[in-house]
Amino acid sequence: MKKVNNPLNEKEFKALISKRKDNLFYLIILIFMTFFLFFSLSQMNINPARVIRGFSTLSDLIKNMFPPDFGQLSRLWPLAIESIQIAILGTVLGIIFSITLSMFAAKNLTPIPGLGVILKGFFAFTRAVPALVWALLFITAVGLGTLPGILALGVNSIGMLGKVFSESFENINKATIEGLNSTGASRMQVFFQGVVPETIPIILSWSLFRFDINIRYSSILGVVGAGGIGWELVRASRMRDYPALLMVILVILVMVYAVEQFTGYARRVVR
Amino acid sequence: MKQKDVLIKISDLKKSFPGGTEALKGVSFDVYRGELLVIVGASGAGKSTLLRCINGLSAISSGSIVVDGIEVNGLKGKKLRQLRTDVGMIFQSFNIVNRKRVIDNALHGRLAYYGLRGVLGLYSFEDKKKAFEILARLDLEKQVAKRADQLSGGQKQRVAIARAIMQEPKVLLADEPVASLDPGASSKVLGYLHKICQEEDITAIVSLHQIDYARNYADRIIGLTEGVVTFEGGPEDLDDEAIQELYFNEEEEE
Repeated sequence: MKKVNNPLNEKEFKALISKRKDNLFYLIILIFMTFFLFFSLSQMNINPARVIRGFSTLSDLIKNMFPPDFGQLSRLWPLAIESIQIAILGTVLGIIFSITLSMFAAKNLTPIPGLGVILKGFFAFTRAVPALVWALLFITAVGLGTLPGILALGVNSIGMLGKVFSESFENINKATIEGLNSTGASRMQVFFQGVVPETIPIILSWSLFRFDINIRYSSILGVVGAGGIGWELVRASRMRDYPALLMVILVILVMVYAVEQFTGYARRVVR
Repeated sequence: MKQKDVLIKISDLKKSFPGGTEALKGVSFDVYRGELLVIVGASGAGKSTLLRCINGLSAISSGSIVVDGIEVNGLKGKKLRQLRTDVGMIFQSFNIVNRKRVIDNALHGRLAYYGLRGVLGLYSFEDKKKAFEILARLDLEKQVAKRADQLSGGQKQRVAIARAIMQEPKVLLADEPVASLDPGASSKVLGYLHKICQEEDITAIVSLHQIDYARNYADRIIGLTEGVVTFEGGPEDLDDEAIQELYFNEEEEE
């Protein structure tokens, strides 16, 4: 056995490995959170009786939904396609703007150092405002239909894609950029011939992931009137046409699942 | 005999880095048109910094570098890019775009001759033909369509040479071009570099830390020790005594 020379005495050693200080900290947080939970429940008038009543209504609702109204299908699938189109166009719009803006946001590429900070703030802002809020804003600006939906998804995508793209540009090997700079290539040339090719797997896999997210958003954007299948959800529930409502939900389910399978496959291909 | 026509004139070049490190402490020498000049010295002697100052990758602190009549100090934007097309560079770690094909990397040497077309990678047929021809001269004709990350180190460095030659440069700077290669690949790469510079009549400045390579390929050798020129002469002048001075003096000081 190797002899271990412990320079601490027993008391110091125990103090060193003791977690009591941390435990006290977590206990205070736990007490606070428990208090807040019960405060919220009482303040919002949520009691068990109400939840139980809700369950029975919900089971009635589900019983009324069956069988789903397959007659709706011929009307619903073009709307599902429209939702997919909104998601595709919104994602493409987001990708184009994200790549272009990231060229100016990445610390190692930006021509004006301060611009990066401003753009990253802009990304954070577009990310923080939810897609549905963007849709409402664009409906006010350009009117109802698919266009506000596309714009909303595009702008909301910039927040996420701009952040990850500019960060991946910042992590690129400095030597690659220097090599192209040494040939006398311009900033734009270095970017599109060097930086983009080196980060294309990251760009593609995040774009596909964002498309996944956008397809979910586009299926409910219609709720506020921004095109696609979402409006059918509102219509069926207002008319208490539960079999139709179930059909809409099923179509959305199939649509989202199919797209998810496709993007999952595509992401494996691009690595 | 070669006519001694000065292509690069370096006078009292000083370079210090933020933090106070003085990498070059007043370096002066001339580079003649058509020669292969080797710069030797221990690591940290300032070889890389010196080369990077010549094409403006590092800004100099004081002094002057004149390349074919153009003062490098203070060049910016378009003029700096113009200088860089005239001055090709090869790096220790190759610095090519790994996810692009070999031929695309060679064509990158032409980017400065294109505007927006270069951004999109739309090169003329003549340039593509020329890139293939140069790659073939470097024995890479079987690799042209491969992605650069599939190549060995020696092959990557040859691609980097092809890119530099595609620039049609007046001068080629090679910063420790074989430092990350094994001995076999090293002499091969240096052989190609030597041959192609002679054939294209390109002046070359090569920094090396291996003395044997320097002796084999150099027309002239300059020795740097801690940012000062301590040797200047032909390969035959670099005797054991000179080597001793270059490499072992500073170690004693430490």
